[in-house]
Amino acid sequence: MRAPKTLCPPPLSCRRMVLGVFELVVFVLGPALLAGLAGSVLGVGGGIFLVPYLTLMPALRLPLPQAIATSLVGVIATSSGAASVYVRDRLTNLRLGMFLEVATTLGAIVGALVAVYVNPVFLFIAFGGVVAGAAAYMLHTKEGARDRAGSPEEETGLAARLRLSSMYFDPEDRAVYRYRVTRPMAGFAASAVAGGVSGLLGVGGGFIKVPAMNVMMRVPMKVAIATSNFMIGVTAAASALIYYSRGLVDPSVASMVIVGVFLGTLLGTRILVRVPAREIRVVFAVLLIGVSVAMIAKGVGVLP
Amino acid sequence: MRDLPRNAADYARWRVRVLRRAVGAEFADMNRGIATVLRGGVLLSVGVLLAGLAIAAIEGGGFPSRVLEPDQLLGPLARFRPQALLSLGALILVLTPVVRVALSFVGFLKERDGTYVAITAIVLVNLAAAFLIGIL
Repeated sequence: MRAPKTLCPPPLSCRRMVLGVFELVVFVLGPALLAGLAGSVLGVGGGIFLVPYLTLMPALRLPLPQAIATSLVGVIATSSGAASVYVRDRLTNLRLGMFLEVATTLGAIVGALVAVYVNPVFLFIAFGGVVAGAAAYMLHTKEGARDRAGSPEEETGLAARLRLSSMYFDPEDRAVYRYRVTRPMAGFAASAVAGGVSGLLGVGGGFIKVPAMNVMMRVPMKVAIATSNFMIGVTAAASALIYYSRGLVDPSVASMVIVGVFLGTLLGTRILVRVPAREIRVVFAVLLIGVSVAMIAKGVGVLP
Repeated sequence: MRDLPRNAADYARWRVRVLRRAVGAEFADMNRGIATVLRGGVLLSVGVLLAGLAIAAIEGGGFPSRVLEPDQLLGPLARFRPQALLSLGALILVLTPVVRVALSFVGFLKERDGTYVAITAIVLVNLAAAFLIGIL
């Protein structure tokens, strides 16, 4: 089971630089910690920062398929680390998560299969496009009362059958909020897309699921972030199983990424409960725009 | 109401505790099991990976850039080869969410929640399919 030849067409090489202890700690562990921190605060797996970093950083220049595979493993660590805290604190809506995971895992399998056989130049441009779209969407989304309180109308149809509505405790203002979940199928479709993007590009896909749950399904922002984080682990595992057995995971870089994001997530989950939703969005969008430009530049050969 | 708090700070703390408990009581114990599996999986994986990294650093033969396939792990693992340890650590992490889904499946089964037993089963089938696609 070797990596198929289509993965590394010239001029994209499949070999990475030789790394020592110093390089691994300074260029992988530290940045992975920051990615884990940002990822858990923003409700994404951190992959949206890790993939561009691993491919663009001159000291590393990991080939994109390896960067995607390595990032996916890191994404699982972020998701599991953060999710364990959110699940314990009952921020996560387990039923909603399980329901949407049906869609995200299917999407992830399709995405990973496409990524394994497609030209990396396409992946770079797709990455840039998806990230730009995510940034625009986050800036456009308006903050409303529904960020915290749910919709007032009765639960109907499928949402009622699936018993998706729930409640959560918000430590920020020390209150319990009940919320009703609407339009489960719209969220299901968005989750399938998020899963596909995750498997294809090695990101968690939280930037699609969090707004989808918040705006379409009317899930409070903090519950949306916690539930998205919860789903990301299973989504990434589905595509990571494919990448792993194709030999695309770089275990040395991955282990540093895992340790880094795990530590970053420990910090991040302590911050989430205190950061207001609006600031989360603005930081998110600004970072994403820069990432998008850099990835497209690399794809078309402007960046080395 | 024997331990009703006296001052404002005590009252705030007491209120947080009571509300947390109220929300917690709404959910089944599945939450605790899932949190434990997720945390345990990550910690175990990190431990194995650090061991692999440490052995690789001490031996000085460079850090491996490829994983071993699951069926090639056993022999090198017994001899504490760094590549095998690093591969196992990554594999443990990848399988952690799978174990979490399996645990949810058992949880919903115990609750006799037919709808969610079916939903969880579909997710497990998807993960199995991913594994099969990977090795084929």
